[in-house]
Amino acid sequence: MKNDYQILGIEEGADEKEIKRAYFKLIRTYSPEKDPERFQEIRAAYERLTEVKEDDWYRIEMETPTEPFAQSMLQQIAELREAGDYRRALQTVEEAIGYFGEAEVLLFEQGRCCKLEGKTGKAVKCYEKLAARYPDKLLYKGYLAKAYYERGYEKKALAAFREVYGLGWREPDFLICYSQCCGYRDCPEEGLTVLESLESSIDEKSKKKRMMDLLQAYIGMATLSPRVPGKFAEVAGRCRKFLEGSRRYLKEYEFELQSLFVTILMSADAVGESKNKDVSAIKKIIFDIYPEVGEMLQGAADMLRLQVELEDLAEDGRISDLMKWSLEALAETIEKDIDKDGYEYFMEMDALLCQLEEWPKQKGDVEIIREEYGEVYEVFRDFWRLLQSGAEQRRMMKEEMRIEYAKLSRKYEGGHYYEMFPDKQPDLEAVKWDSQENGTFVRDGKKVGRNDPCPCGSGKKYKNCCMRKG
Amino acid sequence: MDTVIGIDLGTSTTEAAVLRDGKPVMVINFDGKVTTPSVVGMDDTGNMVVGEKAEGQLLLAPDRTVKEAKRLMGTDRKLPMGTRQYSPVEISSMILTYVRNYAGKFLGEDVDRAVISVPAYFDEIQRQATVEAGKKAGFTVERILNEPTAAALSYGISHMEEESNILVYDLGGGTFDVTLLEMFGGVLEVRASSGDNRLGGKDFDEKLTEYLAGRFKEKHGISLEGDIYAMARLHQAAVECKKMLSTQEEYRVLLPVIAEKEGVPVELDETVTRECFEGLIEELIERTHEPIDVVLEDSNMAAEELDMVLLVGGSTRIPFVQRDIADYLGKEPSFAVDPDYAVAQGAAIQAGIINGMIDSEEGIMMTDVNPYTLGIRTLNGYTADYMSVIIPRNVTIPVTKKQTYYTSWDGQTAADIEVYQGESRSVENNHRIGMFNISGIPSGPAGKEQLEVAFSYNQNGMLNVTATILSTKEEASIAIDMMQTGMEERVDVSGWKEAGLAEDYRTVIRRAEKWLKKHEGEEEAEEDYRELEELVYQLKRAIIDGDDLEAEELEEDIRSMI
Repeated sequence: MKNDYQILGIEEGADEKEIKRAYFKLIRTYSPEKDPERFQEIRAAYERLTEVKEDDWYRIEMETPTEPFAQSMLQQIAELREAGDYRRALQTVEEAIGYFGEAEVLLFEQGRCCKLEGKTGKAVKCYEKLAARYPDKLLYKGYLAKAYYERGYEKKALAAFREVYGLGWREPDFLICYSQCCGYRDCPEEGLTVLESLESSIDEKSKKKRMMDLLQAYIGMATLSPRVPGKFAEVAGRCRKFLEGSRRYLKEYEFELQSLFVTILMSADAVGESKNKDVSAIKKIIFDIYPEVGEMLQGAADMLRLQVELEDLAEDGRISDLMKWSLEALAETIEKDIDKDGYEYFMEMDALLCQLEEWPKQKGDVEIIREEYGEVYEVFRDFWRLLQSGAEQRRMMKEEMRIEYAKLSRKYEGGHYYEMFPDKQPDLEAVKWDSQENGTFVRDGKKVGRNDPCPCGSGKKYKNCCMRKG
Repeated sequence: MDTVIGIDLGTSTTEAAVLRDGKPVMVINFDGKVTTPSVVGMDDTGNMVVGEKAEGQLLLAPDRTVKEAKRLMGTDRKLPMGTRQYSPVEISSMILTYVRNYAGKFLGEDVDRAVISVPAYFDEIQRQATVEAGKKAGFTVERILNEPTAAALSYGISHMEEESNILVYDLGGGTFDVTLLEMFGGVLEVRASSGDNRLGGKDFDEKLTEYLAGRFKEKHGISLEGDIYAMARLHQAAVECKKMLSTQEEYRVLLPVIAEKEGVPVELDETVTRECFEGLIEELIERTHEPIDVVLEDSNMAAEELDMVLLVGGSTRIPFVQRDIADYLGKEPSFAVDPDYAVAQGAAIQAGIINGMIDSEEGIMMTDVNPYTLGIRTLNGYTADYMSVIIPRNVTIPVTKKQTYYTSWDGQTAADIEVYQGESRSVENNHRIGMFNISGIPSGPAGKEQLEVAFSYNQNGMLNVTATILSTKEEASIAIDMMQTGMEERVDVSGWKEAGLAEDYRTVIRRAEKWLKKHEGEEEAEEDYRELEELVYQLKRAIIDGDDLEAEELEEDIRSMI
């Protein structure tokens, strides 16, 4: 196998000018039109030799086996790793270690590949070796701390993070892991300081390249801030300033923005600052950039808020157990297609029936929920309305539902109704069953109508989405 | 040697060139001119006219004349002309047919091969629409060439010895493009391209027209908005004003009898200063900065490293534009190429490279980049719509890249490979350009089996996608021709009445067609109109195919609409 210099026909270590000259001369003979394969080979070699290494943090001289075979294996490893084939990359590293021993560069690659492959324990071992062997190289200490953290050794990790940070190590990913670890070890203030140091290390010029780091930093800050009194407003303000100043770069970071947005809304809720003007400004920016996604995110945030409220409600001693599990059951059915035969429908009826039997005992519950759990009240509006309808209507509702419930209760388990009100269970013999319904239940996919929401989840109508595509 | 013609199909004007003795020569049209206005019209007698004649009737019959069709390329908007609606592709093909005719006369031989230039920032759909227009005009479209690259070629052919970094700033009638190229040893290498395909001289015209109409309303209390004849005249005056302001400090727009007030004619008399015009377009010019940043960023270069800033496109004649570039890049722009002809000339040079008139060992050659990111849909932690990038944008083509993926769930034996093009990380916002399925993956736990997906993209716009199951070496692949795909083949359905099923659906089709007739051209009903039209087509197709089930469903859909 030829190395890159050989492909270009130049001496190893040739300078940039020579590389360039050779490349431009060669592609005249092997032009994209005449010999596309050869062209690509030449091009790839040229790119590798002139590549500007983005990540300075790896730029550490490492002991490397000198054999040409080892070189080509290293190249192969890097290619596999970049192509996302971590397993084969790791296999190749291990093979190379078998031939050439635990050379520094090979150990480092082994650690990286183990980490990427999810073998966190082994990664720890690699970096422990490296850190012990090269105590001066902070890179390895930093990686070791991250490896501890990823393995779940948070206490050990925190100590390691502190030590390396104290020695001046500021790799972005390291800082982000450090701050997360702080979150787990209950020192949010320390985490915030770390993230602030990351934020301030990125100036206007390098902003575009380091967008990802910045977004991660702000997500981290937004997560930690509610735990430090008075901090949220400050973080929201900074976040807003950042978003306003980097609008034009943001479009490519849809997922990070999504998570930043939801985090901010949640944290604002947690500290009771939903009306904060910076939060509204952030909302506006995101809606501007992604009108559709914005709405979706708002939905996601509402959903999360609902969950948090439901969790709080579950802990609330004033609310009756019946109400708690009814709401739990109802929450399961949100945003699902309610099929008249389906389990969700059964659970919904189960909750409703129990509530109807007990009414008006739960009036107090409803009052508390209305006062203190706005989101829950909002989402289950129909449910409260049903409960509070007139006595006659309630009676009719109960009767209708009992019949359907009886049918469905043969198919599904987990209902509370008969358990709580055994006298309501119909005498099985007395009910005439439709013979067809005795078969095993297969939930067949409902046929999607042209105007129904598309099943791919895009939110568009089916006819405008997958139907057209496929 | 077969002649291949280079055509610059512009928003406001069209030019063509061919290579003669190694040098590009502009082709002269029937009016004895190089420049043909990109305007199509229908004259009093119902004949189609193109170019100057069409432009001439713009004022008299704006309802029978179409301009700026390029801005709508790739959309399904229709352009009304006389009694019929035309697609932008049809209009463009009329212009190209006109070019083909005059070139045939000029060269004394029929020309049926062409290189057509498009803005670098045109997306695949717009490129395909351009190819289709070329085909309709009877051309074999050999290559779609980016306009700034073409301009750089026309510069490069006379500067073969230079070693320089060239930024082409192309602000035309409708689009803005910026491309960074490296010239070395007679090879032009495109480093990066970006732009804004909704920004150009036409936007300046609109701003100015709006301003003049606003001033007129202020003075006389009359709104010209609804009067298409008055607006057409005002628009023409604004274009003239814009052009004049490039050479003089102020310009007086004088339009006698543009409106009437209580039976008395009212004139528009407004003096526009250059400063005032600059104030109007300042915001638009600012929008050019971002694409410039993107290309510098993508090619890892600082503004100081640029050796030359080449101006192309009529709008670069505006002094304010030139000043803005000089301020923003800290470098005086160059006028080394003719801003109106350089693109057509470059297209002719590319045509010469293709047909061998330019020797690849000796003459100029170029490498181009892939303007859009290509990838496939995958699952990730957040979403099932994640765009996993395989070939990023601005990579020199031809190029082949691979990625390895793992099975997503236990017992997965097949996978859909959906190929997307676009810059968003969610495929939802990108274009799907192809899809295929690979099956026969050995069943196993999630993540056990690996699938290697290779993309290979060449300079003719062919994208080959191959998926390989690594454990069995089994393969599946698809070839997407970026110059061909996109438009689904429309089958001729006029013979549906003869098909066996016709009897069952006659009534519904009659009713639907009645509805269509009634609502034709109504703006509010536009979306429904198009949908129903499509449904009727589908139904006829189903009738011909004898697919009763499908036809029944379509019937139901049609009934729900009318």
